[in-house]
Amino acid sequence: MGRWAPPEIVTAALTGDSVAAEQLVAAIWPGCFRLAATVIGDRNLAQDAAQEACAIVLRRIRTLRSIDAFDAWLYRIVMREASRVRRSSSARDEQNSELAKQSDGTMTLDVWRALDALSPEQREVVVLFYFDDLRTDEIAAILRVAHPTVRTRLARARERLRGILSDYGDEPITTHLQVKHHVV
Amino acid sequence: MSSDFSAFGKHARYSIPTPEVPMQSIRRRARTAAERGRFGIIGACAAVAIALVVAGTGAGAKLYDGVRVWLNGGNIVMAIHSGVIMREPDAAALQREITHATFPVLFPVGLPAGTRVQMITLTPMGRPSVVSVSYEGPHFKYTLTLVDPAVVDSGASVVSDGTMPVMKDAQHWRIGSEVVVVHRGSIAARELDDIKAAMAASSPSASLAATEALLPKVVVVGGDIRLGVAEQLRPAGRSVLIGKQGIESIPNLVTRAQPLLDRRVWHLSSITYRNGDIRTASMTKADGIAVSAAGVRAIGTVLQSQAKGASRCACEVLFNQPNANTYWIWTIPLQASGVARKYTVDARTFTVAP
Repeated sequence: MGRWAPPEIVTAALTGDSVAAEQLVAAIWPGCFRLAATVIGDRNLAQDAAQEACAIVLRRIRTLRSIDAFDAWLYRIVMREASRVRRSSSARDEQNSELAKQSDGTMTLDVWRALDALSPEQREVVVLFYFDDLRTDEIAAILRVAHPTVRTRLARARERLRGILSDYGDEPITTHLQVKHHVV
Repeated sequence: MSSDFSAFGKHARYSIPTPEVPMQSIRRRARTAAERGRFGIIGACAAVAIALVVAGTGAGAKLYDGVRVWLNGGNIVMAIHSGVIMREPDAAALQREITHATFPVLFPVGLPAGTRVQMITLTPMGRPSVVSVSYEGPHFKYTLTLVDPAVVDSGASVVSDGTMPVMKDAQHWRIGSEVVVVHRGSIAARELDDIKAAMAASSPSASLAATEALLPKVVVVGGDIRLGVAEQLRPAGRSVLIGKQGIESIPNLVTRAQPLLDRRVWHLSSITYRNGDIRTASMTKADGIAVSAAGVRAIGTVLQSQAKGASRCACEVLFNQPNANTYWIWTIPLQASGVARKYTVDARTFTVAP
């Protein structure tokens, strides 16, 4: 609880107070946008997905029965909208590495390029598992897939990431990422 | 690798520049989605697909005053320009609209005990030739659509150019001066046989009286979970049942000294379609007054006197004004085991007496 917004703001919005609902949207916007951008890999598409997710929150927050359900509910909304926007984008392949292109050109490997190497389904699981520290059963509930499916996607994503590492010799991924960290 | 990837992934994410909150755009999207949702109700209510007729569709195609219906086996397409939606209608509203119908409407009768009318849609506006009645019971929910045969093209092939959605697995039959349409999967065959038999033995006036008996006996604003209890409690005269959303709006209305509006009737016009869904439509709500500003203040006073505060009541509210000096207000808990409490409020001093 409180991952997206302070509990008092969520509580106020749950009562149906429209002002509180807009305050809640303002609080969750950065998180929604960044999660969508990480999953989709494109800022414009992420804007679309995040706006749609926030619009759903604005419209339906009063229907949420418990404050405890808010975090998982919002994850589901953002992931669903991100997935929808990604699917509906016919130019996805070209756009997908936009964030990678925006990173500095001195690095041959960074987080975005690693994510771009994954399938959309693997990418979703990796983002939620590694960046959001969610458990696999929580991810399964958010993505509405079976728990073993999440573990399989995660295992295959790890294999893929290891494969990417091998393209860069024996140098561990941490070295590249640390360099990237300093550059940023 | 995992912990490093996790740490740098988080860092990379937080390095993404975040644009300002596009609140205007979010508000607009929320409004649009809400309207889309309402329009979706129309589709469910009509239980048939509706779409805009493009003049001249098909050689020799007939155009009928804004409505056209294609029946082709189990496939149905209904095309409309406008309509009136009445949610939880009362008898007066139904009589007012139905008198202008283009055919003598024979309402479904012989419905199971406990059935009530949830919504009625009439299309087109003004001179309806299609009437859809949505019923709800303890364990079922279905819609029967009554169509003037004059607007039906049973021989024409169903237009399915992608603009208009097609309702599949529909069943229809002719009775008297109307065609009845229902989705096959929404109602049990035996139940449907009972309705057909009862309709065959009924008349338009008798069926209207039977339908009026299924309408709410109180004005329902924003909720009807405890409608049965409210109907038992209601005294003579006009009573209003206020649900969750209505209750939540009470504090604001009290502050602004505004009445609670009765927006059960919606008018839709200029409907256009794309990809099998409504694209645009003009919608107006008939803004009647459900509870006067003074009555709203009385309700607010009662709710404020409760421990949970004005907008947190886990209840529905029944309102009645027996005379100019008095308001009667019942709070009816949402839980079936809860006991309703009656309050009397002085209309001049707003003092509450349990």
